[in-house]
Amino acid sequence: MPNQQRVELQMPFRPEYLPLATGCVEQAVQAYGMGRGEAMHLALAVEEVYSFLANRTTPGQRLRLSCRFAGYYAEVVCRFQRGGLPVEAFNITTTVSSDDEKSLEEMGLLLAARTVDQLRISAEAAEMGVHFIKEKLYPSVQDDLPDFAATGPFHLAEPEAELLKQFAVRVHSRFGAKTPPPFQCPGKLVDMVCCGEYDAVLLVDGKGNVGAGILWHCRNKLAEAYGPFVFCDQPRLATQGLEACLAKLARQGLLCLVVQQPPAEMPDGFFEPLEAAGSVLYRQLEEDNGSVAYIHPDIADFYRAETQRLFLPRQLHQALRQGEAGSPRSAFSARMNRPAGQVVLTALWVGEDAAAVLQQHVKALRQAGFNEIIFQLDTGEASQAELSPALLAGGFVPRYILPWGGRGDVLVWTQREEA
Amino acid sequence: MAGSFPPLESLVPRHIQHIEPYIPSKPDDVLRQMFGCERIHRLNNNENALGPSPKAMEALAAIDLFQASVYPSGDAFHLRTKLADRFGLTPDSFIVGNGANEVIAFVIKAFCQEGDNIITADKTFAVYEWVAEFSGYEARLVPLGEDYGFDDDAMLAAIDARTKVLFLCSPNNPTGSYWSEAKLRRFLDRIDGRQIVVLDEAYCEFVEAADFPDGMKLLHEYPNLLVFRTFSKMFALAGLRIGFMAGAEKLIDVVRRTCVVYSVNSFAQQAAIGSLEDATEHIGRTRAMVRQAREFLGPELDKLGLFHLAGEANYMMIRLPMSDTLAYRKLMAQGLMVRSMTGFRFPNHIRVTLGELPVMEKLAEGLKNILPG
Ligand SMILES: Cc1ncc(COP(=O)(O)O)c(C=O)c1O
Repeated sequence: MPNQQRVELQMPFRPEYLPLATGCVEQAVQAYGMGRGEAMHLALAVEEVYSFLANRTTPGQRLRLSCRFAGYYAEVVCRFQRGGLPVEAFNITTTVSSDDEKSLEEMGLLLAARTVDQLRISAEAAEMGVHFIKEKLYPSVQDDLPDFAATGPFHLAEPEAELLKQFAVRVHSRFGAKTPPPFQCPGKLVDMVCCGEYDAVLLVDGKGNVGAGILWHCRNKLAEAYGPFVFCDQPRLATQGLEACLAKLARQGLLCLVVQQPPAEMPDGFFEPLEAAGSVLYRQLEEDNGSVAYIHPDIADFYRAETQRLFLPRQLHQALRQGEAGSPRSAFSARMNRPAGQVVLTALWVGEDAAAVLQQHVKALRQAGFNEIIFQLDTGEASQAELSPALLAGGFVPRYILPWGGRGDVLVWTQREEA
Repeated sequence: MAGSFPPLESLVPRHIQHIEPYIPSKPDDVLRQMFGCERIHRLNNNENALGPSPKAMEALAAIDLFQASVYPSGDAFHLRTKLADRFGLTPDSFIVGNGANEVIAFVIKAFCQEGDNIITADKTFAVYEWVAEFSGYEARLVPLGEDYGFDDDAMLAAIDARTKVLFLCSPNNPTGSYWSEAKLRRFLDRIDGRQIVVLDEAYCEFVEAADFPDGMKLLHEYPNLLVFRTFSKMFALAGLRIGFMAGAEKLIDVVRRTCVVYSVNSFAQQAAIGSLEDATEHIGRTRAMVRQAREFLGPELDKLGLFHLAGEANYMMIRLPMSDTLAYRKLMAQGLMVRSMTGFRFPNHIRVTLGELPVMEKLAEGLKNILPG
């Protein structure tokens, strides 16, 4: 993939090396053809993390810094040995004493998160990683293309640049301010598909008009799609597009396909609704032969009812602590989508302080302007069962099960809007 | 843990990094518990519900278990002799493998090198495509024609200088379609020996139609042809893993260079020899069962308004007004295990094995239960 130009650097955590780290990021990101502004933002984020770590790591620890360009964004990852730091140091709320506004402002990592588009914390075999993503800037949609009356037959076309741009404009003409993010900038859509992170099926007529399209991307074992959208008076194109999308997804080892906010033209009979409102549609791509779900008794009735409704073969293990010593500390990872005001929390470690840490996260995130807080609880991890009481106490409501969304099923919670 | 974790990014070839392992279904006892059903009828793998033939059972019963300590015949010597008699070829025209699946891998290994490709259909048995891809070769997938059959012109058009093998499945799994002998001959004539053509006849013993070509007979005329057969389907020895390929001696000699010796165990070889002895009777009884199942199920599905497609083999494909993977779960809850076809690029279709009538009746009932409305 020509776009994936990777740069890597390893160095000790010593103040005199800081310019090396920030300089590397600045240079690499500009070499990727991105603007100086974006490069500076990423360098600033790395500076915050570096300083934060340099004060806390033991001597001899090293930072592994990598920069990667994926066509429409640059990703900078700071990796370091897992044992070198207490994991809870990476809670975005660390050092925030709950009532002190000032210390919130001083919180380096949260500040770092504000300069980038996405922040993610990962735990790999022996390392932890802090990932910063900054997207390239693109002009937003300028034109308007109304739906049209079909005159000839449609065929499946390769998703090449001009067709993708037309696709984005057509989706934008339909949805205006509510256009799903991948379609907001036509040039970005082209780069997203070109770098291989997204794929699309387009149905095009003899004159090059895009009559229908569907776009998707894959994360782990899950594909998430937008569409199918139909832009002419041929409703059958929705089924045709969906079938072509499913044919492309077959034999790729993916387990499921999800469509959030399905369009009106979604054909019947391909998906199952995961929740009552029908705003999350789901389809498995492989046969489900069952798994174990670790569930706290407080949530067992909900879980059992949902798995029965969905005919999901699950063995529920009620995971309940029985006085045994657990890990004292918790660490959560936050995937922030700043423009959408949305944040997705997941658990890296669950400890005795889970409820308090959750509360701190919610407070800090609300203050930072995130109005949609989602918690994804992985029922394939026994230790996460303990989170349910903390989530319930924190005002979160279980919304639906996303089967095979993580190591096991993911139980998706959202926080009730505060009155 | 001693030592560091190996650097998988550099150790694992790119084409392997992108491949997902095949996940086989779990054993019955585990599935029964998961789905909460008392019994599971396996209608997902096109097995023969009648079980192995009496002579095959006899051969298995007569096995001296102490022989487990001794290596099997490394080239299935006696079985190849029997096959030679049966098909009028020499023993050296055969390679026996650990299921037909293994011989697919032998052929690709024998003929392909970096940059080469194989050609097959998009909606057919997946193993040709898988083996090619995890070996690092391109699999060119030609869409099936309107008639659910392989598209001869399009396959020929897909050939280039790096094409080594074309895989045909006859009758096709899952559509049951096949080319008449005349059409197959025309195709082979147009290839004119430039590439290897594999004719996978895993289900040929089920076919009763007069115009169905017998690949074994064509071997005399087409030295670039390889025919695959298996003991898993009609002969009901799937659990023992044994299948074979036949072709011109010179071609077989090339493929043999890539074979794993001793991959076929002694018991499988004995059972296969046994099943050739009463093949005629066993085939007759099985065909009668499959015919009865097909004649029952077809009208039942018509009554339910479900489109279905059954060729001459022991399976039928059914289109549902719902996701096939959801149907799978709902049928499993009733103890009916079918094959969901999203992976075969037939979304919202299932494939079922045609077996004994009482089970077919349960299947019809089970389908009725899951249909909306
Ligand atoms: C068309 C086809 N070829 C080959 C095989 C493999 O059979 P075996 O069990 O001999 O490996 C199958 C099994 O499903 C099949 O359907």
